[in-house]
Amino acid sequence: MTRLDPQPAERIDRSKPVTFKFDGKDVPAFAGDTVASALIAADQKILQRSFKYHRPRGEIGGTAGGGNALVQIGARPSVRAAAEQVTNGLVVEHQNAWPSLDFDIMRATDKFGGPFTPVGFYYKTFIRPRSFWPLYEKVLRSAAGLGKLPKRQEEREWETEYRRRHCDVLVIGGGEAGLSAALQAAELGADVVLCEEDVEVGGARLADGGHEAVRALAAKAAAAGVEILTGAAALGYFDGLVPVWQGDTLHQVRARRHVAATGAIEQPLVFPDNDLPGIMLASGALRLAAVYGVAVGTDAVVAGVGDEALESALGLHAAGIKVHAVADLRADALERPAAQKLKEAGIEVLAGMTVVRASGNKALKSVKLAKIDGSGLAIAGSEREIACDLLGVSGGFVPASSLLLQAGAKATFDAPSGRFLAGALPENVHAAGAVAGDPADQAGLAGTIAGASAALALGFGSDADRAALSSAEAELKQAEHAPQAATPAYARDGRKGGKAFVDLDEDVTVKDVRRAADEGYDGIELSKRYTTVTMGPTQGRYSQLPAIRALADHTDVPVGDIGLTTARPPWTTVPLGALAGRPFEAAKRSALHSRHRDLGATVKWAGDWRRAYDYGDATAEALAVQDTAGIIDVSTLGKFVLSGPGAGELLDRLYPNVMSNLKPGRIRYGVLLSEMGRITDDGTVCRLDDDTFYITTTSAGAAGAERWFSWWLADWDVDARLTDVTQGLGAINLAGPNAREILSRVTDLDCSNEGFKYLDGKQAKIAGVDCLMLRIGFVGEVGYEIHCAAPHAGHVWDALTEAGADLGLRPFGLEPQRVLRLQKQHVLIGQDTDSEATPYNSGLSWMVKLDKPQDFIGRWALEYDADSEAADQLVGFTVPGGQVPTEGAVVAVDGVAAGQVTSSRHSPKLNKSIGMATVPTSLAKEGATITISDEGKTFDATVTLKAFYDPEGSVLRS
Amino acid sequence: MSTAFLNTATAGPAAQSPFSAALAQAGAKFQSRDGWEIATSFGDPAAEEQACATTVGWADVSHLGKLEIQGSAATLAGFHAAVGVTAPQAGIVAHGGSNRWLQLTPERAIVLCEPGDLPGLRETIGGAGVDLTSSLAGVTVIGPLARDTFSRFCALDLRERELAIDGLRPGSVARMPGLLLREGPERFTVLFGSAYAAYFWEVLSDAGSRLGGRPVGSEALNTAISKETQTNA
Amino acid sequence: MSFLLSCPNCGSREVADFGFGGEVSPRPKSKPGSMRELTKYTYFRRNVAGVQREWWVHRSGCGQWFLAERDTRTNEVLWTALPEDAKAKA
Repeated sequence: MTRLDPQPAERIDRSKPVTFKFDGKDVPAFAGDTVASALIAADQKILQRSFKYHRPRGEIGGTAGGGNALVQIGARPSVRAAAEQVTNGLVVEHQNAWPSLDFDIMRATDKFGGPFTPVGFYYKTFIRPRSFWPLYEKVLRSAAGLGKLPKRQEEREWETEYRRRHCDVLVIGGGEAGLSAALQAAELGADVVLCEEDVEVGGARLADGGHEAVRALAAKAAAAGVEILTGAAALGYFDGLVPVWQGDTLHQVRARRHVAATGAIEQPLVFPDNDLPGIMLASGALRLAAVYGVAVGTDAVVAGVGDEALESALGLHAAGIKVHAVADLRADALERPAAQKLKEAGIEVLAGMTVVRASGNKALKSVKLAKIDGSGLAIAGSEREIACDLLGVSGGFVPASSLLLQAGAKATFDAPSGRFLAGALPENVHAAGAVAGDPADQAGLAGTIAGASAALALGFGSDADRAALSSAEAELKQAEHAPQAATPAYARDGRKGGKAFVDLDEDVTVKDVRRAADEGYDGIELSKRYTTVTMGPTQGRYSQLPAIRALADHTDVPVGDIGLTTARPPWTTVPLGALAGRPFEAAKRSALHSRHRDLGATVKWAGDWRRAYDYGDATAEALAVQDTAGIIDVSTLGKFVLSGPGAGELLDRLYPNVMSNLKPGRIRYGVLLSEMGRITDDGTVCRLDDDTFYITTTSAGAAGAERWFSWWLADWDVDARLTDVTQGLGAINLAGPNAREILSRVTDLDCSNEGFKYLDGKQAKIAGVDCLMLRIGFVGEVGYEIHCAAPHAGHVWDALTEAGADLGLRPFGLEPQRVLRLQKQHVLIGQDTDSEATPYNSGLSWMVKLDKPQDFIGRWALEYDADSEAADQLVGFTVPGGQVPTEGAVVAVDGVAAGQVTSSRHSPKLNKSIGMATVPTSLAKEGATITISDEGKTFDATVTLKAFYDPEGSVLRS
Repeated sequence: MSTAFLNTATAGPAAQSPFSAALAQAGAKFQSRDGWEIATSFGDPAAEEQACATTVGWADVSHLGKLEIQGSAATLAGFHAAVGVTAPQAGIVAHGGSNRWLQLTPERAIVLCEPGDLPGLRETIGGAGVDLTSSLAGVTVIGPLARDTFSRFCALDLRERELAIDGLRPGSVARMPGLLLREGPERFTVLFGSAYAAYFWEVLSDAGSRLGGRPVGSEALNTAISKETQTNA
Repeated sequence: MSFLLSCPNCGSREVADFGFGGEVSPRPKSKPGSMRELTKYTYFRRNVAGVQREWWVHRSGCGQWFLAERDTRTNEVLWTALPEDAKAKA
């Protein structure tokens, strides 16, 4: 156990022991521990194996926001050990090592890999032969990976709650600045949410002696009404929408103003073997000691480039860890006040020195400190080897400005502090604390200013509050950062050996960045893509500056000119399951849906509807429609009421044929065209009275047709009104030789062929329900499309079913309907037509009335088209050999693709293979032979221009 | 009338709610009222009232009469008196007796009324309008966690400050086009395309039951509404 | 992308509430003189990096088509208006 004596700021409760399992072994911990703090406290130095080389790795960040060590927890792979609180019985396992963390076979890639190590190796090697990729992929995936996905789907399912939260101000980051901002905004009356990635708010203050004050501040903010979310990571900034992931909940926060108080992230130093377990950010080691009472090591050395390292060393010393020496690269380090304090504590401060090598096998044993020259090379004679098991490193800071940059701020390099600061902020975004470059002692004031600015901008507060803000702004001192040493890209001794990592996530070394630059990837964005530097699970938190420095050094470009890589969401890794949404599909179902289910229908998606595909026997269903009678639920058709004095005029402007002269009670078929004369949809128009038309469209095209109609209505000055009644009406098509008899049994209407002609639309009651009946014949038999209010559709369906029971009536699904309509060569929009289809090449020329006076959409293009013959035609075909080609099969002419099969089926009634295809116009002649090439087989088909069944339409009209 | 086939209110059989299959599966007890099969309870009225009072309850109100009226602003204004409203505004429900006028665009409104009132109402405005009763399903969500329930699947801002009682918000609800009304301090009604009923029932049950809520019948809903009125009075 | 857009009838909503109708390209008063002119009207768009006038429809709400001016670089929406009101804007 490396638990320190109780620390003043610690959040663990030593009176509440907790036990969890790590790789099968019991690990003792305390309530309040994270998996990382508990494992380190239990002397588990190696927490994971690295991504590529399988090197032993510990924790570098030590806090939730920073945690880099990933573990498997139950079915959840790649959980950050520092973000997960322990509970009794939690089952934790290591990742990416076999057979064990302590001994990993794949480490060979590191020790003996030789040619396997360079960057780009995978790209260059595994592309040949192409066909081997699936095999390569399998092997590579298992060699380099992060955790295991459970094999069974049920174990993979992720139960996430989604919660939309609107607020006035969202504060991201719960350090002193963030808490101050939230408190101030709430006190001014704003509705405030604060999210903090760590398991506790307080930020840096928790570990620097300010814990009592910052915890009191948090309590005050909560009392003022701030909703504080802890363990809650802001994933990104999406035009003001910020998803905040908190365990099982994804809060989708929409605030009017945002305050980023996300702090700054300490950066590692780069030297040989800088990844040994025991090497941590100085601030991370301090945080573990102060907040969790955990000593990462008992004998420490600290190496840094600024005051923060000195402060961390003091903190570690105060926590009870023996600090042997502090190397500060600044030549004048001894003049710093903190250096004086260290001296008083008996700790040696080595000015102008830094760490040039770490040694140890699976954990840190010693470090070599030295003065270095301009290239980072140790100056002979200055070297000192110090035994230690903890090295705290501090290579400067990067403001955690990712969200600010996503919001539109541009990063600018501030040379004196060595920091990339977010420049001018968008209007709705504020920043405070370290992320904004505010010094630590100004964080509270800066936060208060940001909170007040946000709330006042939203109209909260009074003139007095405004005045208070002005004076606070005057009080805020300009940031004065202690000078920093120029940090070397790569400090090293003269010895060979040892990898120096710029990115621990992705196992990218200094050498990799240099090699990439030599190969031409010499900008940071190119380097990132080629080497994957900064692209790992920590999103570049600990590799940003090292990567920039390595590139700057090698290409002789100043660090400030290299710039940051583009900040992209997610800022914190998040399981895909948390983003996947609840498992519900926005499906539409007809009012008859439960009847289809009861009848044993095969239900499939059709657009956004769930539809009955068949009832178990598509062939028998199709034959029933032709021999006796069938009913099909066509409630999914688009249905619209168009009314007003201008209704007829509008239709004439949207359809290529004339609708305004349609007589009440009559129906006409029509297609909708684009400006280029392309067919976008089809359907029927029934005139109900002088000013009212009832329009149907295809099921899939209903939404598009609604938008099309309403758009032109908005743009044109036509006195007509459209109402979409698609979902309000049930529609049932009753068809077949017995359809008339069945219908006459349930209605008083005269159903004779004289009384109810083909293309008549009649209104009457069926079984007591008001219905509109359209006599149309999509399936080729005498048919009645019956429309009624959806709440009565079930009643009508039942009445028809009952009336037809002794006349062979059976329900039929979409598939038999497709066969039936194909027998009639009725074009199915979207199936037989594509974006090039016009009435002229789809067998619908008869519909285009260029002689009508009205302009209509598509007319111009059709007029131009009419001047020349279409290159292709949609035609029917039969296959003498009986083969049923795949839909999409090629129509070949002289071995070259010249068209394609759009529909094909075996017709049970005709006992023939029938279909439709686009063919060159020269072949669009009755009886012409076309060649179909289908998945390697070639066979002939015969063009048939007329319907395969009832070509004269006498059945339809009988 | 040339569009009788659009009308839900008929002398014929009782209308079936678009939720009827889902309601039956959830154990609803039905009674015929105002020409509709209405779920009066799910067998445990006390528990249903309790849910409305302490967590959240949701009830099918698809039987509400809904009449769409379109026309120029002047035409619509001509109907105000008949419906009983004066100068309705977008975003706010205007009351005229038991009628409610929802102004959606300057040239389009939906009038909500008691199920049996629609034919009469239609007559008073000269037969204008299209009956959308069957096009729009409706659910009332009531209880202290009603707003939380919506927050699980709806991006609309339902904080009281933004949406007062009688506020109307057309917008996406559970990825469907919806019309959301705040009817009480803890009571919301959402209207949406009736073909989505089974889907929305799933979504609502998933969200609401995780918050301790349950579906409730018309009896528990009416009790909860009457209690709400008393509290306010 | 989840910027806000204000429906002239319903108020501010997330962009997912709306359908996009593309930049405004008025229909010629009479038949374009050539197929090329016709395709130009139908398919060619200015596609500016900057402010452009567009059609939008509040498909999840009131269903109304309206016009908006939006900066394509920042997604800042300068104004939205019903078609008749938009005509007044130059």
